[in-house]
Amino acid sequence: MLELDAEHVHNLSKRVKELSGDDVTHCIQCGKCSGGCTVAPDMEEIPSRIMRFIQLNMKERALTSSMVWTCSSCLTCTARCPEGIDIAKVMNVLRMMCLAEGYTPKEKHIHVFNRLFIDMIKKYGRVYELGLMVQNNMMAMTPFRDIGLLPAILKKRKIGLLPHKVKALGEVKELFKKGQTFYKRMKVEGWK
Amino acid sequence: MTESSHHENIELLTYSEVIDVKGFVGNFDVTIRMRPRSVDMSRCTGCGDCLTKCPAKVPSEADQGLGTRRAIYKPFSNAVPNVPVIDRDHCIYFTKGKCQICQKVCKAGAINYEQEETIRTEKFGAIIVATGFSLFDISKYGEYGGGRYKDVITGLQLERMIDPNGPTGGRLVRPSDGKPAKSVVFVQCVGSRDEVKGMAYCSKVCCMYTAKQAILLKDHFPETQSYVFYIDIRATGKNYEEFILRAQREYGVVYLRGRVSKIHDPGDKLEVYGADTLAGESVKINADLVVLASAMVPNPDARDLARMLNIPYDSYGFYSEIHPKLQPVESITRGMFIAGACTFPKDIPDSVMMGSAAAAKVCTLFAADELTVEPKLAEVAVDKCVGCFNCVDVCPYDAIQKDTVSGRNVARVIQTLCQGCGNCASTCRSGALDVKGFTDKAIYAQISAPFEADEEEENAYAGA
Amino acid sequence: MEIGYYPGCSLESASREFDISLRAICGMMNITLVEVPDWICCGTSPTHAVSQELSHLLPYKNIQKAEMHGIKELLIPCPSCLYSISHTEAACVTDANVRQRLSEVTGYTYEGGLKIYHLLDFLRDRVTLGGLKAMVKKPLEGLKIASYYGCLTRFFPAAADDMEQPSLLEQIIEALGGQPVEWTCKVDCCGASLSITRPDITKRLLGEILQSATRASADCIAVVCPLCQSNLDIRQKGLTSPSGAPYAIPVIYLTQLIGIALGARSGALGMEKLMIDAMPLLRAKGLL
Repeated sequence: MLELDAEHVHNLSKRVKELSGDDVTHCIQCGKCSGGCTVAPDMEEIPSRIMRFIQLNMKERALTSSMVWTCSSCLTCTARCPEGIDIAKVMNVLRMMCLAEGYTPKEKHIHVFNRLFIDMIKKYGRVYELGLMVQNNMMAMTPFRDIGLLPAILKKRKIGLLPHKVKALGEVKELFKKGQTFYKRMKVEGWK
Repeated sequence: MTESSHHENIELLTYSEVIDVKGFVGNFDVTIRMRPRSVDMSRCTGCGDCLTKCPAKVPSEADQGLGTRRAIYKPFSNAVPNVPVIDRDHCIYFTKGKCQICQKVCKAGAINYEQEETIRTEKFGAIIVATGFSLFDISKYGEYGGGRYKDVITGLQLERMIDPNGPTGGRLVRPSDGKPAKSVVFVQCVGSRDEVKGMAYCSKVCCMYTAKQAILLKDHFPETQSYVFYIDIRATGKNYEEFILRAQREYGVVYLRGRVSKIHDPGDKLEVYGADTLAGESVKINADLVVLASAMVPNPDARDLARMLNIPYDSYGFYSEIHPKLQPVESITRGMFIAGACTFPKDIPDSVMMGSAAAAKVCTLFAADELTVEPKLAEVAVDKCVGCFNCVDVCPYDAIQKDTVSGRNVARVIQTLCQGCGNCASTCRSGALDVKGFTDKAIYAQISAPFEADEEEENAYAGA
Repeated sequence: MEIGYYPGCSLESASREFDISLRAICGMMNITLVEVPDWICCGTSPTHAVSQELSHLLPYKNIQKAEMHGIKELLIPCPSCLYSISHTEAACVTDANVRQRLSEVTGYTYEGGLKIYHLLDFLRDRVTLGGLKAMVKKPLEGLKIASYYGCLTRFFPAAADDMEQPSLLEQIIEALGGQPVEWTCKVDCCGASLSITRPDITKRLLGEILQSATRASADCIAVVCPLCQSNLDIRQKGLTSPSGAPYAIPVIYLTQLIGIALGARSGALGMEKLMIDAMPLLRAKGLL
């Protein structure tokens, strides 16, 4: 049962507003985001419910929903929200909060993919798609996924065999170091 | 309408518009432009021969573009007066110089192409503004087709369609291919409750007329299945909630709590993508027809008219009353009343109530021999007035006029118009204007009083 | 005309034909592309999901590199890169906190004023539709084209007329002599970002898009996004229509279509890199 108390009821919506600049309390629960959501037909949750969880300070439900991770960031919800809430941005903030608060991401492999992606930027300065695909498959324990596509892709030389490295890699590493990357900084202070 | 047109104390001026209003309560000078109808009202018998013979066809405004009318036409079949008008922009004779078929078929000889616009100015004691509303333009909703999908229509278009005298003869068909519509989706709040693309307010009447239409569809065409996407059901009138329940329970209308996100038109059935937030699911419905409940909005020229009449309006363009609870039909200009949907979305009972109230207010006004006014009126000290007339510019009620007293230009307050707001008093540089009971002297005295009291008290303590 | 150019990671690897064809048509239109020297990845959606700071820093570094190279106008063909970079650019202009923090970390202060173009905006505003039309040597006559904007393009001035029913891509296709078809999915998401992690969802989305294009009798799909192209092109194999027929709709970059209309050789446009061979179609229409 959801128990509400006056002291905490606005906690989550306030935190989300601090981090994203979007006031989810403005949501009128019309469901337009859910009707057009790219991934909702394959999910158990719909985006408007996530907004409701925020409104009612249901932190665990909001942060541990798989919807938060599966969101494809197509911004269709953002484009159509009659209250002008950037729902896709709120989803990103929830992902960060999920990690910062120590919850396990519901769709772990999506988080793993994101990490691999970012690690690759850190390493090369650019993203190297073949390596990304292979690494992701290894991490996700599905080494042969998409293997059937490889010969044709390689034959057309669509994906390079070797990564392109940027010259000023030191600068990139510097950004990662100085920028207090990932979610660590969020624990200290949030800024948009 | 017909009854009022026969009433001895009522003169209906159709195809006319008010272009200027001067004066004040009991003495309004109203200038009216009477547009040329091109039909002599005293001769026309209303036989309707011209309406069927005219060769120029134009999309019908009354049928919301679903049907056509002729260039000589009556707005709708029961229009009052029962006299047609020639639409000169589309008439073949007026545009190309040839045709005149209507003149040939008119046995009464009522067609007069030479008629010209006339302007008349008359005195009126009071004015009631009841100019109604317009519908929100659905072209802003690209996700619903923005007006380009033929089978996505508005509630008003459906209303015309199910009228036995309407463009489809009362048949429920898809405008795209004329096939009967079986699955109908109603979408609520199109343009209303939308701060980004439309209006923040609730359009108030859509919940009820949608339920009525869904019931009518099932009644007339038992094979139809209606779905209503709603955000909240606003059914606060007498027997309204019961009516909604009847639609759901007796007529099998499926209510889905959510807003439609997009409509696809792949060619045959429309695909409606929405959500039901109660089930927590996204929903797809294949529909023959989609009906959008487009919001009631102020008329496009509402602001211009308000400025001419000196009526304040809100950020949307709806006319403002003096007090929303206690003086809902009075405007700030005495003798000028407002009624109906020009003030805010209203359904028929509310509009009738407001119209009746405004009429009663006028009767009360006229029944008295004298006009009672509030005592707090502006007053000019003629000896101090230098005739700069800054006060004339700042008066929101046009209550100050230029006057001459023994050869000097001075301001004069029209007591019936003044509302005692004090704008003039604070603007007047020579201190000639004051509001009775609120003179500068009196207000200064009030401000000073507490400080003087303090001094006395302090002195009292000092003495102790 | 000279214009700054940020290709982005996709145009350098999996979507090289986008880069090749863009360079080819710019050459034909006398436009010099000045590549941002030693550009880095914009960070795109994965960084937006883990660090707001990083999601601004990576684009900012690129803005810095562009400005230091004297670039005042920047063409970013990839909508994802464009979204990240223009998002940061806008944040720098509107949010003093962001600007201060970014200049603190990078030691470089962006003062605003960099003009960033989407490919469609660039064609409309700089090349102009009339200018494009005048250069056409081989009109795309009889080619029925489904214009696919994808999900992000609607947020740019390219779709300013109506973000749900944009028309600029169609206007460009018409200027090339092609025939845009009416179809339903032009701003729908193709699910490219989920193609590795949730291929089930991506398959459903691709199915809807391909079905809509097929119903509209499109010969091909014109795209302006490398992710949409790869996703629709590489993963089309194995997808079938509701009646069971396998799909084989060529997914062609707008830049390639422009190249063909301007009379470029197919080899110069990277046509051979498309997974679904567009050559038979183009030959059948007499365009090659």
